Amino acid sequence: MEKDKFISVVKENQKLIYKICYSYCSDKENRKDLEQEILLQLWSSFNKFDGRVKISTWIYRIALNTAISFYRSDCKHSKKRDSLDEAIISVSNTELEAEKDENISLLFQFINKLNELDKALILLYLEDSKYSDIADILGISETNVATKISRIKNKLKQEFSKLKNH
Amino acid sequence: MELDEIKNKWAEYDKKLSYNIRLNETLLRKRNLKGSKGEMLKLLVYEIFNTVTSIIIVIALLWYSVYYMSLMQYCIPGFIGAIITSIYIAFSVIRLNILLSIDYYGSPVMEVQKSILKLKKYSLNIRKYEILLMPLLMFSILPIYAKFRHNFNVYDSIEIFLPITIVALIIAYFISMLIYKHLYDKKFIKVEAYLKELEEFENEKDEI
Repeated sequence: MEKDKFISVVKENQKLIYKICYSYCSDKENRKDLEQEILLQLWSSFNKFDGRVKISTWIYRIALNTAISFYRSDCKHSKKRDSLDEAIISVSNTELEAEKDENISLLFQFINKLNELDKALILLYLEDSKYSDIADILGISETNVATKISRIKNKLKQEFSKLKNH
Repeated sequence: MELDEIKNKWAEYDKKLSYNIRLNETLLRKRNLKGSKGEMLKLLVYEIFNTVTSIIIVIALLWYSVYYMSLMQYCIPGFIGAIITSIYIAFSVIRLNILLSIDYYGSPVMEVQKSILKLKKYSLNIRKYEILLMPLLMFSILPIYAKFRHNFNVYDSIEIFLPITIVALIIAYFISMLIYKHLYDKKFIKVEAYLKELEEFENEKDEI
């Protein structure tokens, strides 16, 4: 019963989990491990979710915290681990073309260059989250969110022109 | 390209993703969602193991020391060993306390990351003392352990035991310092740098 509820929550938010994994791990094997770790952390705390925050806020907090910790310890060093058979959240081939879309591909290249915190911020911004929600998920002020987004906007502009010229 | 244009592209991507994403429910049901590979869990298991082992050592040392209460040359080092091991327990308990106080599931990203880093910083700081205390612990428990377990009196050959102990202590301290410098010092610097990065991230504002 609890697992059914959990599965339906994961299903509703699978895009969010997928995008976080994709943004924090470019390597496919590491990405499966990160996905497993995020699902595991979500499952471990599922009965502790008390509804004080939106379910998406709760998922973002756990998924981003897990991704940041994973990125710092595992993804960067790319340790040899026991490989998982397959990803739980996957996309069909047609979708892969979307990732090959020039602008999206450039965007992922840009996201990969950001540090883990800016990465979280830009993901939330692109997901159309309100500044107040971003502030709530990350634990910084709304002014700070606005400042950082403005800074990333400028950086992005420069990076895009650089990447397009290459 | 402006960020707003990118946002539109991202929305298109999101739409395509909606049609193509697939959750393997059977696999999710089957998969064991218990064995976390997260470093916090590893740390928790390590600390619990550490605390339990240290408690057993303290009990054993106290038992040996009381047993040889009338023989000062055994019971004093035994008690010193028990005190040092108790310091290890205190360090572990503080670490466990910090670790368990982190609200990993309900707190914002910055708060969790900062708590983890503070714990790491504390652990690395403490590790210095743990490493430095280790040779002293070894040599303080050696006489009573040798006597109790093997009925061997190290004081019978004090002229050999004492110089060996002094030389071994000097070498052990030298090695300990090297270990700390090469294994933990760099980690400590990294943790400090990331903590600083987080603080800057948290405090950056009004610079548009």
